[in-house]
Amino acid sequence: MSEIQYAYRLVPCPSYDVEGMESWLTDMASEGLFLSADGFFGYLGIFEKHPPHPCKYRLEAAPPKRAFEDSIPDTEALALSEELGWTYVARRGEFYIYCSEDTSARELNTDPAVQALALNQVIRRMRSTAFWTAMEIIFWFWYYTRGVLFLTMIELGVVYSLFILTLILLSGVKSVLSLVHLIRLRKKLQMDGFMDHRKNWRQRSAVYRSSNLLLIVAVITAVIIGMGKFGDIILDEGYIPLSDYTATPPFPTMKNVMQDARYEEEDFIIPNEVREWKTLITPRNIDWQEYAVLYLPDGREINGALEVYYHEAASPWIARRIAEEYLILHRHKAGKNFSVLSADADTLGVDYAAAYSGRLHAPCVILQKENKVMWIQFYSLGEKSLHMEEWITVFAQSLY
Amino acid sequence: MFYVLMALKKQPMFGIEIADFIEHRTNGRLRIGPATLYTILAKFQKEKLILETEVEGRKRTYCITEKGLLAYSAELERLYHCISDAEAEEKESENIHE
Repeated sequence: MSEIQYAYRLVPCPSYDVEGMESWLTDMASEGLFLSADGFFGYLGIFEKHPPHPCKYRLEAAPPKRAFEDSIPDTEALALSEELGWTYVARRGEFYIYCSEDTSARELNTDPAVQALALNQVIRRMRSTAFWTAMEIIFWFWYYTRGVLFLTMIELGVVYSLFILTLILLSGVKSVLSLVHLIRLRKKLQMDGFMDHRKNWRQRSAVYRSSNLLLIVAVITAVIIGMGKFGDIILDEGYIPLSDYTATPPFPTMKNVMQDARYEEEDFIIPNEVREWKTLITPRNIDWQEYAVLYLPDGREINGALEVYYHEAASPWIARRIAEEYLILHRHKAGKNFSVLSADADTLGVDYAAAYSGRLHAPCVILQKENKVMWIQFYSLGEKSLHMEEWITVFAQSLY
Repeated sequence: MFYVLMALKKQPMFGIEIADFIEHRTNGRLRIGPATLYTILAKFQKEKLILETEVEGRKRTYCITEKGLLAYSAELERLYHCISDAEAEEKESENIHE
């Protein structure tokens, strides 16, 4: 007994292209390639090699897949089909695939109206799946970005964020296209139009195959880059000690925030480090983290931590969105601890100003003027503290 | 769909018997496909026009319900009306030509 030989072919059309799929499988059979049982692996069709002989393939709408259950037709449907010359071969997407080597066997579907009825279930299911998938994507996107799209783009990179957004949109477009295709097919059947079992599936196969390959490569790339970025965030990649930072920051630091104060660097609560990077929407970004002790002329000894996020945006409009998003983000993060503090943009001479007390009960300030925006938090450890009013003006003036 | 109710009105049957009945009754004019028959059986069961009475291996026997009989009668009446309308129209046309 000779061993069965197998051949592998890229599927040339989506499962919802019922006519295309039926025609492709029938054409493969005429070349001596017969779809093997459960013969799909992703976008690959697995075929058994036998001497060519006529074999027709037909697709039939399948019920929804259930977890932990074999996704094969109902036993009665199997028995009925077998008695009338049809054998179940595999499931592809929302359809069962049957084949018949008996050329005189009656068609699997003999009434287009009834077939449209069966298709209706698939359409309803796909519509519902598409709707809930869209809702889920929107929810998770909102959850992870917390509604702060620009800040997410600054953190993850504009190109990568847009890449992910494009992938999400593409999957949405794919769902819509499949629905439109099936609705058209149903309309055709309802108007008593029979299926075209000899459709030219080659016409769009190159587009389908290459778009799927591109999609697979894109998803793998997105996952690899995403893991790299996640690793960078976890490992604090890109930060350098403040002592190694040679540029002059465009905002006050602990050294010069208070005139005539003596400064002593500490490395206690937060590491003294800085990260500077650029993105397409913000050509300059600085994340400044500094901890020091300030000895003020009035005798106060301030153990303070200064944290600044500074951005030079590509336009004042983007700068304003970033400023507003900082407020949204920290209001969400602080929860019940969030309380608004007074900060007037006109008095400070900036375009936008907001202040609040957040999770650490430390004053935080968001300032924006033209294309520059910064988020500042000054946290004082101990009884003595530096009041927001004492430093907010100095930061505002640095934006002039 | 009408023929499935007709078959089950005669007696309880399982799928292949229904398909054979329809082919025989229509002198081979109508050969119902397995997927079509299965979809109709599922739809009729859902609409309580037929009832599953027995399962024997992979075969299920169905019988018609009261609701199914009413639906069959209503459809039969509709078809009678169609035929009598068509006959009346034919007669009228013949009279005009004469």
